[in-house]
This record gives sequence, structure tokens and C-alpha cells, in this order.
Amino acid sequence: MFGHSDLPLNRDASARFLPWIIGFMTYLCVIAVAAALTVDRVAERWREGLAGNLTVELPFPSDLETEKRAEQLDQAMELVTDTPGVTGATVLEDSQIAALLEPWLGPDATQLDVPLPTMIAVTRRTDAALDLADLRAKLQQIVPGAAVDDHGDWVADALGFLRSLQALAAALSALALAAAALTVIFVTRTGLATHKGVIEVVHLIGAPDRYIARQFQAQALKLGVLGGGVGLGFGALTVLGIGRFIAYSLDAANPGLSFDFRLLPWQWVVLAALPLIVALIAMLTARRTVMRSLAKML
Amino acid sequence: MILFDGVAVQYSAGPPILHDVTFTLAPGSFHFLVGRSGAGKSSMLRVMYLGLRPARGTVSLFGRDVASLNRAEMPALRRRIGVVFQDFRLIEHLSTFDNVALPLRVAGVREAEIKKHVTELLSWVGLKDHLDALPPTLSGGQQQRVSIARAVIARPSLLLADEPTGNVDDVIGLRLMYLFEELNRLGTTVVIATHNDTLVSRFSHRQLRIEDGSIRVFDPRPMTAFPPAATPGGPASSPARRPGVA
Repeated sequence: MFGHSDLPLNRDASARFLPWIIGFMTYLCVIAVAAALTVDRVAERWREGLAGNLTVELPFPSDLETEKRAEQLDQAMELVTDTPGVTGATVLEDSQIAALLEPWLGPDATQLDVPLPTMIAVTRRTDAALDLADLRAKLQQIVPGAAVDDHGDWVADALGFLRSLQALAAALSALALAAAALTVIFVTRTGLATHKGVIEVVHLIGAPDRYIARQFQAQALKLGVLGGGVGLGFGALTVLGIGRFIAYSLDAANPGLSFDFRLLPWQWVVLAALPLIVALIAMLTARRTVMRSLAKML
Repeated sequence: MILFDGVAVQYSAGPPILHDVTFTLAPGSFHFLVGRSGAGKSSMLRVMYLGLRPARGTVSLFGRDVASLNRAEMPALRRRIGVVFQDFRLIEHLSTFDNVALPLRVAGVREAEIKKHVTELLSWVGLKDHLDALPPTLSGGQQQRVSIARAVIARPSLLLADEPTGNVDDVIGLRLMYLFEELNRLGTTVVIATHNDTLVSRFSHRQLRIEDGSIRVFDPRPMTAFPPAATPGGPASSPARRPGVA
């Protein structure tokens, strides 16, 4: 593939700058695709984590007697746990509610003069249908104003946002690939013009267009693999660095919560395939450019 | 082998360099293409090696009307033609060996065979010690011999040479002419464009004389009972009778 060449393509100025451009485009692709894959993983984790959970909010009036409050809470717990599809229910302690509210209300959330609802964390089977409206109506008969939240709206909004990020990453990758292809077209056309005399001789000797195209495509593939490899190397280092930095920052801001932004092995395989894809695009682009250009010659 | 019928050649909107050129060349014939400088010898050869389309008329090579050839059919036809360019047109970054090997590589010949044949031919033309030399380091005569070796290495059916002895001394020039004659004896049709009258008179081959943009055929050999090989009157008056006679 990279053997004998009649055209001195490796001496062209383009042979020196093309790998760097392809490398940079591959770098951008690696970052964008890694971001899309990470987002995909985060979205999947959110969806899995919230799909089996419900939160029941019971806004007891502040002047309600303690016994009455305990009685209503027991009735609500009994209703929830008896609902088909529910596998467990736990009343959150004040300290747990305080921890949830801490990012918004600070560490003394439960000490503030703000009425906080009693909250029940419910786990459910994801494969069983659960009539939320019916459950909500029954709970409101026990505690007026009771609410049931399956986090569906929040998950939909969050997943929508994540999908937008993925679309952005895909668009960025497509732009990078298009820029790489345009560069290859420019370089190939320059090469054809530079070596017009040699190409004419080779043609007159009886070489078909594909013989000449093969030399350009081999050069493009070689430079594509070289540039792509460099881009992948720097891209992988950047992905690792950014992943660690984000995980470290989030861990520091939210001690106790685990943030894993590491890519899975198959996702690394996808990233490793990117330079080959870029090199392949470069090769095919060069071939098509040569064949189209030579078709206009005698 | 070659048929020109009412062919005209012109560049851009300029006046025709050649007009109403009609002749046939039989397979295995040997012709000199003569005429003063600028008469159109090189243009005529360009048309023959498919490097230039005629403005008018019909050109037929190996029984194929070149106007009807599509692009994919041209390489196979061109591989049957060996060309010695007036300006050599060697590929400067390739060694002597690789320049001569080019037609064989294009034809897909195995490297072992290429090495054998190219080395042998370059020895024959006196360039055995310059296999790895790049063309710019060779003298004009040496470059010309490389160009000739490249043209004949694939044993073409048709050899077109534009002033092939212009840059070599008499001894080498004669040797190259003997090479052309040897190829001709083996069946190659040869057309040599030259303005070297001494060379033309020394070898009694038929001549295609370009005069005033048209072709006149001259046969210096004694008249025989047969008509000449190249016939200005066209294919209809050119029955094949003997090698070189159409």
C-alpha cells in the first residue's frame, strides 16, 4: 500500500502540514465523541437510578398534633406499601432532608423557620405499571396537599439537555471530519497541479487513472494514520485529564457522592477507531478527487 | 496499424498546423517523419500517441477509431505505444532504473522480471553503471538513451520517436538506429521524426514528409511492382503486400 510511488508526493509541502491538520481534527473528534459517550453513560445512570424511585411529599400543617400527624403518616405508609408494584418505602429523617436541601438552603436547613414536608422515599419495580394519579388521590384523602413525584419531568428535561449535548458533539465531529476532507481535497488538487507533468507522462505510458489515484490515496492514508494517531494520543490524554478534573471537582463539592466519569473499555475502542475512520475518509476523498480531476484530462 | 483520414491539427483558435492529412501505415513498417523545424512533426506524433485530439478527420490506431474510444480504453492502447519524447520527459526524482521500469510497473509485471529486463536493456544502451543515477545528473545523450530504453522496454507494437538521435554522437546514434531496426524486424512499427538528413539518407526507409501542413510520402527505395506503404490517397489504395507496405 505504501510501497513504490512514481510521484514525489512525500516531498510536497502538503505532506508536512496535512498530518498536523488531520491530527487536530482527530483530536477534536476524540474530545467530542468522548463527551458524547460520557454524557450517554451519565444519562443511562440517571435513568436507571430514578426509574425505580418515587418520592411522596406529605405537607403536614405546622399546628397538627403529633399523635394525629403520626397516625396520618402510618396510614400513608400503609397505603404506599400496599400499592401493587411498590417494593419498599422509607420515611426520610430530618438529617437526610437537610442533606438534600443543603445545596440550596445551607447546612442549617432544618433549623430555619420554613415548613418542610415529610418525605417518603419509595422504591418500586420498574416492570410493573403503577397508577400514580390514583395513589396521589388516595394520599390526598389522608393528607391534603400530598404529592407523588416519579421524577419523570425532571428526568425528561435532564435527558433532553444531555441529548442536546450529544447532538452538539456529533455536529462538532461532523464539522471536524468535513474540514479534514476539505483539506485533503485541497492538498490533492495541489498535488495534481504540482505533478501535472509527471502524471501526463505516466498517463501516456499507459497508466490508468486508478494507477495514479492509488498513489495519492496511499499517501493520504499514510498521512491520515500518522496524523490520526497523534490526534488520538493527545485526545486520549485530554479526555483522561478532563475526566479526572471533573470527578475531583464534583467529589470536593459533594463529598460522599461518587462521580465516575471513566469511559468503559468498549468506549475506548470507539475512540481508538476514530483515527482509522479519519484516515479512511482521507484516503477515499483523495481517490475521488483524483479520479474526478483526471477524468477532465485527455 | 495507423490510419489518418482528412486529419487537421490546430492549437486553440490558431491556424491549422496540419490539414487534410491522409495516409496509412502498415503493421511492421518503418518510416521517417521529416520536415523543417516547426512543420508539425511533434504535433503529428502527439496525435499518434493519443496526446492530442485532431481538430478534424479520423485517426485509427490498431483498428480502433480513437474518437470512439472512451477514457477507460485509452490506457490499454497507450501501453502498445512506446514514445521517445524530444525533451525526454524523464521523471526527475526517479532513478534511471525506475524511469525505464515505469512501463513495466504500469503493466503490472513482477519486480523480478522488471529487474532482469531493465538491467539488461540499460547495459545494452551503455548505462549499466548509471542504474541509480537521477536524470538531472546524466548528460543529454545519456538522458536520451534512458528515454529510448523506457520507450522500448515493454516491446511496444508502435514506436514513436521524436528526434531520438539529436543529442548523441554518431556512434551512439547509429547504435540506437540499429536498436530501432531490430525492434522493427521483431514486428514493431516504427515512426521516427527527425530533421537529420544524413540519418534519413543513410537508412533507406520510407519518409512521411510534412510540407505546407500536409503530408507527402516518399519512398527512396527502387520502385517495385507494389505500391508504397504509406499512401497519401488513403486506405482504399493501400493493400498489404509486404512488411511495411499497406
